[in-house]
Amino acid sequence: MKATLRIKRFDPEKSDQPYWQEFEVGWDPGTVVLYALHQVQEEQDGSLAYRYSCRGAICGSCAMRVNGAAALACKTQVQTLDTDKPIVLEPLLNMDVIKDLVVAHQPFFASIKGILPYLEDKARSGRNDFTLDETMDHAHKDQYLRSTDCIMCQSCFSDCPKRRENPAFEGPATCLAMYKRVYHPQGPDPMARLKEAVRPGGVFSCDQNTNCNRVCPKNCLPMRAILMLQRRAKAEGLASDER
Amino acid sequence: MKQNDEMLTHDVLIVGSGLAGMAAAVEAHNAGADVALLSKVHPVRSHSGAAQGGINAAIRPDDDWHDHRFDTIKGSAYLADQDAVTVLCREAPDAIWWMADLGTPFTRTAEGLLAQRPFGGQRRDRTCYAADKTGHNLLHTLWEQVQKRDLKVYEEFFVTRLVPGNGAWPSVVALDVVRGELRQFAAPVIVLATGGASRVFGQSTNALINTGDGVALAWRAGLAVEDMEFFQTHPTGLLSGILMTEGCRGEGAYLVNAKGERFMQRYAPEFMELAPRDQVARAIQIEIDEGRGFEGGYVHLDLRHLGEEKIKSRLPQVREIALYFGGVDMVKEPVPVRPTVHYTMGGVACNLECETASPGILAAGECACVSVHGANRLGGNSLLETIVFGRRAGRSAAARKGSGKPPSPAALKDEAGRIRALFDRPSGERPAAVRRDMEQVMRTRFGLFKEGAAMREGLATILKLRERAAGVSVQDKGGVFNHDLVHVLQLESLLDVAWMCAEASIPRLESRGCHYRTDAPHMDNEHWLKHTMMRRSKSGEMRINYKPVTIEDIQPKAEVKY
Repeated sequence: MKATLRIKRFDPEKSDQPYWQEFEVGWDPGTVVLYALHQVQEEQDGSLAYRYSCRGAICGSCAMRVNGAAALACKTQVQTLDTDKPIVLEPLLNMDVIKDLVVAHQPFFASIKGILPYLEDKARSGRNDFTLDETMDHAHKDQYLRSTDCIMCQSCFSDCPKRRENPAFEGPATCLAMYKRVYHPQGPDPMARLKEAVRPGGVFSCDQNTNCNRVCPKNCLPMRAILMLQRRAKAEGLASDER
Repeated sequence: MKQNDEMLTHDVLIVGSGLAGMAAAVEAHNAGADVALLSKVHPVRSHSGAAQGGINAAIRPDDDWHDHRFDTIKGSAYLADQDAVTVLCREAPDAIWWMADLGTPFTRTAEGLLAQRPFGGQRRDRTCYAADKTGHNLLHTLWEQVQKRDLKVYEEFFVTRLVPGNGAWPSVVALDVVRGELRQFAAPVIVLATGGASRVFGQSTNALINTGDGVALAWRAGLAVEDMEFFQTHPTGLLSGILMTEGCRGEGAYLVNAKGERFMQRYAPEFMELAPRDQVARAIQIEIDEGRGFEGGYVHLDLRHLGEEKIKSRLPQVREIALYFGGVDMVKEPVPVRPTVHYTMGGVACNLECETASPGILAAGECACVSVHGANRLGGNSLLETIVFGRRAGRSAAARKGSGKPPSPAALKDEAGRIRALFDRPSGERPAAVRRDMEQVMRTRFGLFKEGAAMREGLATILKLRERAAGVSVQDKGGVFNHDLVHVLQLESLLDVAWMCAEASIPRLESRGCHYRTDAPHMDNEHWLKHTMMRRSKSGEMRINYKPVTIEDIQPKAEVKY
């Protein structure tokens, strides 16, 4: 069967303007968008640029906008899309484009790094006998495990309208990483972490658009983590009015 | 291709930023070295993150690292060096505690102890895990530590050449993929941690980036490469190639043929589905080849009897993978699986301190061959190797920093000329066309079942493919993010690896671990209990000699039975 990929292309060495180009590709049940892109790169236009690595939805390389929403190209089956119309592929939003579907991901990783996403030196030893059950209730245990599933693909970062409107907002993935730090069972000082999570640009900057939950390919539910941190912050008297 | 003449230097430069590379970086930094990582992808994109099942360590009261060592050596078909396996197994508990202290969310028992599951070829429940995302969780934990130390990471730099020191520091020339310029990096110590090469078979559980670059770079630089005939085939890949973890069978999954038989009964009556990978993979292929597989060439991995709750808590990711990449819900249906190439046991030859024979060049992880896996790796030992030997490489590197002098910049000029010549080639074949033909040869001639005449024919084809590869052209003439150029360079790596695998496989007239020959189906300890060592001669020829296996107390048996 045939499908058309309509790709938003950009080559900084040729022009400062992006342009659209269409390619016809073959597909069978099971063909994913990433392999359709390989067809184009290998057989039609070697200059097409996109990132890839694991092709199994665990490395987070190949996130792009597919028909207007961020998705992993390796996990998106062509048969789930309407092939009567062109499949529209664009680079992620909220980051500069390097070339074609490749974006400069530094703002994303800088945001994660900014919240000190590691255990402090005085953390509780991982050798100690502890279970998630004893440290948190069911909802938090569930959300904590989801927070460890984040593959940093930047889908939520791309499709967050709040980030677009307010670049000071750290974005859903960073808030999820904040959650992971506050609720880490070895974390030495959850209250200090919670205080950081409510600073300007933190969890209270979210306006509860649900895009992040919808586009997350690992079902990490970043907005749920944000709401849970907001609730905890209010209970601890740390609520901020900042939006 | 632009070149940037400013040479960048550090105390320790690590090529590759998966688990072995980042473990080395963290330890070298802890020991006071100025360390930088250089990788063709961002660190969290590394293939280490795809490891599912777990990481072995004898930490239960009823276990002992000597038993882990025995199982590893037996599983290796006695080809592993016993002193290296001692290091791997003795340091395993410390590797686990190190990662646990850094915050890896290992799955725990109701009492809060680290949970351990059974894995193939082992007599205890020895495999620690973080659900079925063990590699992902370890990788992200170490990436956090790299952030904590603010280590320099040269992301999306593809190394095109490794230059041994010859009295000065070793160096690499690398393509800055984003900027489209070549640059030279030098350090008193360079650690290769570039991962495996199973992409050479095409049908592989490996990430598309696992093109064996480090092994090829080392070989081209004249370093010794060891045991390249041993590629492990994982018993259970989805038809799309993506891995279904051994943890499935560890949790109790059955392998069932089209007649409804749990056929492992015939091959390994005691260990059944949990025999070592080489034996299970061959058993599945025999079932398929003898007509007891399903139409299309596969068997079933059946988990239904485990129940929804266990599948959801212990194997959540593989359930999703089976759903998205195999189209089946393992709670309700059996999963179609077939043997799929998975792991490179061979690699850059190095000693227990991760040193190669070239001063200042170290190797660790899947690209290295210490050798702890011999002819067949046990599940759960590869993540372990990355942490144990990655850390050792980091400490070893930090201890060597500082001596010698920077190298000459001549290599940068040479490489710039070589890459320019790639661009100037008249339009020729696409690299993917040559790559696909190579994959076909490797699958059919150097896969689960090898045979002399077929392999010699395969070698002849590989040599012709190398000639064809010398004519492939770079279609993208630009500088910025030119993956077309990267594909041409990766094809060079892949064809070096394919050549090594062929040349190493043909003379080994026996069957051992993952190297199985229908024309020599038995292990031959008298003649072949030795490592294959390959080197490139100055004129570019393949030189092979052999090195004895280090045997300490465990005497090799005539066959490996489970």
